[in-house]
Amino acid sequence: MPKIKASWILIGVAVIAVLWLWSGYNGLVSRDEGVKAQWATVESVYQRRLDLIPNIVNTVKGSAAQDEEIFTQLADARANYAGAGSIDEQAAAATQVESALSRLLVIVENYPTLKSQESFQMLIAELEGSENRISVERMRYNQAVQGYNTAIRKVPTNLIAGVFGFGAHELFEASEGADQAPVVDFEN
Amino acid sequence: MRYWLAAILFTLPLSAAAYVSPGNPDGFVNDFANVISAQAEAELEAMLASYEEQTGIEIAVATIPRLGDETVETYAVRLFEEWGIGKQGQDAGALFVAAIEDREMRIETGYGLEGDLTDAEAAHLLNNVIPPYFSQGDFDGGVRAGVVGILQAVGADFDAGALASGQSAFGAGSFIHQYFFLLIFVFIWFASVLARSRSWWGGGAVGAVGGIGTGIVSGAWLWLPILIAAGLGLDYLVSTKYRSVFLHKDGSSKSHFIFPWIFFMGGGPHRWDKGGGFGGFGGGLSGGGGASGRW
Repeated sequence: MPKIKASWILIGVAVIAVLWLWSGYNGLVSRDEGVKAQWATVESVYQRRLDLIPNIVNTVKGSAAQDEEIFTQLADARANYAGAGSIDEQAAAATQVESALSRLLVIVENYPTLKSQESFQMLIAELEGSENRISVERMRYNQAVQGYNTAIRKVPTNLIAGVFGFGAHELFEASEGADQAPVVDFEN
Repeated sequence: MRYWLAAILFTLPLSAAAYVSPGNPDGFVNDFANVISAQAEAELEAMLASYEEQTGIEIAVATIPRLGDETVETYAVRLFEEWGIGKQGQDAGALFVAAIEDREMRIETGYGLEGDLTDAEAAHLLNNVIPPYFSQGDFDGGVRAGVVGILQAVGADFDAGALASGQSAFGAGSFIHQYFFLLIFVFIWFASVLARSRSWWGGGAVGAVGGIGTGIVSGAWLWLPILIAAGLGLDYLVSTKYRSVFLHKDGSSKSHFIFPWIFFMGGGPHRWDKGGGFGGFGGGLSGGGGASGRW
């Protein structure tokens, strides 16, 4: 009789171990997918901002046609974003779009009539909304990454992560100086 | 060493808690800064409550004394997230928050209202409609103008039919809330059946079935052994106690004995509601849409 009891306990432990592996693995898969879904949301708010650029450029061109350089910079930045593959490349291209846009806004300061146009103010409100959406979704992306990265390093899920090859995700970090408005150089 | 530790303990909570919640919402209009008259507050509350009843759209107003270390943008998105304005999954909600001492305000739009209350419309309200009132200290008038402006923007092309048909999308939380007492009845019924069976393994079998169901639906297989153990324990308990509690000495059922118990349980649901007739917001989320303004 004691022999039978021991084997039952062994079977019970094995069953619980398998169930623990199963739910632990599925938990990591859910977190991983959550990170990917959140990056897709970041991409969609990036796209929202890119879609606004042609409208802004058309409105500004009417008054500031001679500042050609900024329009080329904006076009380049858009093209770079479209060609970006990895998350790092996309983030870098998005930063390029950001600095080109803020340079454009500095230039617009020289055109008071343009600034007071209702259509331009509406576009700027939409642009500010886009920028704020981007910062919110990036923050949520970083929260998702942080949760995932913590899970794959903590005991005991780090064992499952190691066996099944769950690697860490990169946190999104704004590139240096991206939080400051660029200074316009009037010498050139 | 002791001072060093004390210094760390003292600064740690300060650096960690940049966002300070103003408290739980006690309605659609939350005047934490005490700048709105009671009459205007009641009027706006009634307007927003009936609008929510008709359309399911939740529009919240919050006045706070100051923002603290936050910008008005991050404050609004966190307050929106904390309160969960709008129904879960639909996110048809909006928050108008005004920090009185900072003279800054924001309209934060839930995901589900971004198409109706555009950033440009919100910016128009915050730049042109509300500031004339606020700069004269007329907070009743400014908040009323803001709320009416938001309602007009949202009501313009809102499809109430789509909302009504989407009601099944309400979260699992409210599902459990609604069926909680059905679950209790099922539980009591199971307990009495298991007790009558007088075997002690039936509950384990029921727990196993429940656990396998849970595992298949959600992949949370850890519930399987827990439910089996709980079922076995329950069945053991009721099977041994059953005779003394539920049966007369001659073996006939004392069914009335369960009755006051159910009655007591049935009196419970009010405890799950927050007081004052306001049940809280629906668990909606915003993604930084909207606009900010100053006065």
